[in-house]
Amino acid sequence: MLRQIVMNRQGRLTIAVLVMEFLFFSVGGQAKEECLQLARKVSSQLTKPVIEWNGPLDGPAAQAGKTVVYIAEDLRNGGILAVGEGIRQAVRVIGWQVHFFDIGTKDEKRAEVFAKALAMKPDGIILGGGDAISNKDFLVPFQERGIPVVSWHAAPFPGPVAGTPVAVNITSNSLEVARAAAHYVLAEAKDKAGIVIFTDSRFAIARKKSDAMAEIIRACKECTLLSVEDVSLAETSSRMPQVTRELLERFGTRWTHSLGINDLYFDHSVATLIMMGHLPTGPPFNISAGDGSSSAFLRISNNSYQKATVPEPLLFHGWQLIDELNRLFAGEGPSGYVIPPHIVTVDNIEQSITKEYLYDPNNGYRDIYRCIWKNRKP
Amino acid sequence: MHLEEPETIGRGMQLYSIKAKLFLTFLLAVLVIIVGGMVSIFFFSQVLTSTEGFVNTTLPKISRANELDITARDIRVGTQKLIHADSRDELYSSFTQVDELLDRLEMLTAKVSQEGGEANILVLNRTSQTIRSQSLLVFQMATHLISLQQEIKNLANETRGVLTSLSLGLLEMDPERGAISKDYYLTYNGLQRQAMDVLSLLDECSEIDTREEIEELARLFAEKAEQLRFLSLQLGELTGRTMSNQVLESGLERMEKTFPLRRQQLMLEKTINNSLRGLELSSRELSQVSSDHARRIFAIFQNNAGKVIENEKKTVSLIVTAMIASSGGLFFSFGWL
Repeated sequence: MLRQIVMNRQGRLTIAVLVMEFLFFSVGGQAKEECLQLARKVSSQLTKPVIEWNGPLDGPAAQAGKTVVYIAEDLRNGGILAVGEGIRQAVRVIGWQVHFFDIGTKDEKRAEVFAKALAMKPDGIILGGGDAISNKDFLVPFQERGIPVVSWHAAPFPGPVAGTPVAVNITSNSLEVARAAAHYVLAEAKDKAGIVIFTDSRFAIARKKSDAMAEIIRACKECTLLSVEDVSLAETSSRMPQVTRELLERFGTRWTHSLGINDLYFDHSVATLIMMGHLPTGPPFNISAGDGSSSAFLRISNNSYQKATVPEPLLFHGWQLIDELNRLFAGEGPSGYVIPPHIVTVDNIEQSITKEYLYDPNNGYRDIYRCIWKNRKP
Repeated sequence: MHLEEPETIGRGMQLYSIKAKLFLTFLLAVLVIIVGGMVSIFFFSQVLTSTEGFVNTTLPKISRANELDITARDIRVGTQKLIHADSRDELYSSFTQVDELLDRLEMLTAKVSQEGGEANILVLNRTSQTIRSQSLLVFQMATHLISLQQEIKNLANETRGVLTSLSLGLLEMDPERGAISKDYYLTYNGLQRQAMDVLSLLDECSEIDTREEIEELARLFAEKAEQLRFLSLQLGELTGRTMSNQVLESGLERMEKTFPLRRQQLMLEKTINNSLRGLELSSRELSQVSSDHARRIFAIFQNNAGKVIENEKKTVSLIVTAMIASSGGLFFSFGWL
């Protein structure tokens, strides 16, 4: 796996960028020029269209006739929904069946949904968006029956989730995603940027992301971290208009950029920016490090109130989840693959997104998985 | 002669006595009634359960699916109204109605999605969310469009005002009022003509609707502006007055700002139209999903109801058979009596 990454040009460049970042932070705050150089390098690397595959090239052939269940925490969440689409695409190729359930974030429905899923006697379970630890009691019966469990965004980091039946959790490295967004802001701002970060302190991973962003902004002497706004994701529609107005009144033209741990913040701040006369192409420039919602891509493609996003490759994650389950069915360990982050901007958006406005890396992953499952060389 | 002891059944009743026969006949009748009644109750309760299921579960599901379809269509209509709003207040008022519909759409989608079963919940949620995103985007762009239109209108009015005052200023220096030179006369007329041409271009600018026409107009304007500046300078030299240069320059600057704004306006209108087309497609897709969902629910209900009806028919046959048999039995018993 590591050999594949090193053999691949994109993988080598990503490693180089990460090493430079490590040195940057271990030595301490750097002069303005070095800070900008690193930001430009990271930004330039991560905005390139993703066309090379640096994931696994081999694995077990498709295990026949399996039935899996996707238990979605809430299909109103665009990320959970898109992962479901990816799973649907993948099972058609691998020849399995899939059933979908939607908990709708209703605790009173949770037990019923898991009971229904268990009654179906599936071969595998995919937990979509629900927290692995808080759903542990519902997952244990599956483990006891030898039914493997994989998940998407059930924990902040990829890999097995300790203390739960989740064998593999698929997610991008949240801190890398946050840093990518922050570096992009610095590269675009060039200097004298005034940045506001939006986060949700209810979630540990959101706090870690915003802390990582703040660390990078503070390390650059010419940039100013104006404020870190704690706005719950569940309250963005009601609070963001007021928060945006207050920030504009407080900072005025000093506020040049926004960094959000999710695209939702900008869904609900744009109306206020319009009412207060801000142009779609003008400051504050909004950049997010979330799932990559369709509304974010619509804004970016129209150059309207959002400059960039660091999206999750949701469809790809759906395919990867099926591959990881296949490995578990075959008695093999997980692939351990984590796709590197990618920054979507108006310049590369056409190569990066589907017509349904979902980020989809153009690196041939569908063909690779198809070959692996059919036991052919990619 | 030895007489056999008669057999007895309960309380010393003799087996073949009239009392015993009546008792047995009565018992048989009661049994027939009870069994028949229980069978009827069992199958009628099935009908009741089926009807309750239809009223409490199936009908609401069908109703929700239809409501989803209607809401999607209402959003489509409401969003199209947005672009016809003439002012921000009108736009926000229209969008408030669309926003309520969007919340309703989300609520209905969630309910249908969580019911699971028959609905294609992935497509349902995806189209629902796309409709929301596209509506929000149309609103954002429509708001911006109104601002742009207002700004262009203001610039046009200011430019018109400046050029008109320039023309009036020139009239004060009407060559017929005093002794003038031929050069002054030619320059003066040239300025008037060019100013009128620029005013015509200004009027034309508000009517054209393609990018190519804007670029052509911008090119023509640049030529006219050049000539105006030259003539104004000349007139200034001839009369010793520089006021007209400053006035002219402010008018030309305003006019120059109009062209990029008109380009933006065209781009926005094009994007809005594309988004409305996308919204139309998403809305139709959602209509299709919700119609399919309603059809499937109804098909399941029809299937279950069909089974219940079959069972009912069997019950009726069973009851009729039982009644005929019991009637026959009773007649036999009476005959036996």
